[in-house]
Amino acid sequence: MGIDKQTLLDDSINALKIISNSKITKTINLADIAFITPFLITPITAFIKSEGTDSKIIEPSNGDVRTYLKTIHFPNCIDAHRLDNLNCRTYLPLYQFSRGDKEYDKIISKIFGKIISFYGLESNKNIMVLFLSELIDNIREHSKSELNFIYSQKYTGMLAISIVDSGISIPSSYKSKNFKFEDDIEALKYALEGKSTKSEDERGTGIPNTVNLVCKGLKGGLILISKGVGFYKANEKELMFFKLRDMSFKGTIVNILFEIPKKQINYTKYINI
Amino acid sequence: MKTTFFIGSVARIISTRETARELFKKLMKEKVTTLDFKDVDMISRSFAHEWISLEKEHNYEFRKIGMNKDVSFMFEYAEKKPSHNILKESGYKEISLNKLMSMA
Repeated sequence: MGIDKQTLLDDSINALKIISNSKITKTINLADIAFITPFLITPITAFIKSEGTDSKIIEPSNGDVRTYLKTIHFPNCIDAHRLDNLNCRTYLPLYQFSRGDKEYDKIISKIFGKIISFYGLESNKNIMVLFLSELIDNIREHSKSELNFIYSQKYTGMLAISIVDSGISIPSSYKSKNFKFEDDIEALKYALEGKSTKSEDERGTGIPNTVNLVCKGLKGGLILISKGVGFYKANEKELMFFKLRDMSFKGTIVNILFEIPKKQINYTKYINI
Repeated sequence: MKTTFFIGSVARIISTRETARELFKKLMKEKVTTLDFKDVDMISRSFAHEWISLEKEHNYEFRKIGMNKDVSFMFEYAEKKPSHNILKESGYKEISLNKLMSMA
């Protein structure tokens, strides 16, 4: 089954709707879910593990979907020691990582290595490592989050990746460093303009580089949601900022979708120098 | 006393600033002078930038050998200040959630 940028948008927002409802009903209602993507299930997993530990999960009524959720280890995620034995070629199961993990870089290196080899991205490993490492390092440096998740799935020619943290969110990170703004969208603009909460001039390139590498380099789509705001960009089109109205997410979600490239891409064209 | 440290013993892909900070502190204390990047496939910009910043801060520069072209490029790139503004280059607007859902 294929997915497209509409799925990226729909599932990212549907995850928040399910989470929002569960805050009232104390149930994670997956009964009507007919198809699982990383964009939907990773934020839900993060919510269950961080805030929703007392929520009851209503499983999908579709048996195939229930089986798939077991396959990807929802909601408990796989352990680090099982990473070495993974041999599935179309998905990387839900993996939970913490800033305090021993040999953090070794584990992250294994995950990146799996993503690159499973999905035939050896000729483009640089572009993959560049943006994945920026996202992972941002979690470590800024989010103050101990509950972080990554999950990826290949579809026909397409790769979907979701990286989610349960931290303080981008707007709160800026506010904690005395950046002033009335509207949380301004915080996302700071992040995209490369205004770092750290003092050095050469910092702050993580999010803008990730957006350029994914959207221009890989011609993909990216949606980032943090607290009650977000942005979406696809290909060379303009960035769209949005507010979540009566929903919010504790932490930051980055959902990415792109067509697996057939040729090597010169990543140096898409980074900010 | 070992003066060369094989960075590949940490990981083949080195991503985080935290790793740079911990490793730098350890290697400086052990008076290591050379980093061998044999078996390192790639480093992130974050790691490279942090490493260079620490070398400047502590006035302690390591000799770097065995770097492939991507590792070497990342150390050069990490020192450069960003020159582009993605918001100006791509343009942006604020839209409602309903409009967003019909955008793709």
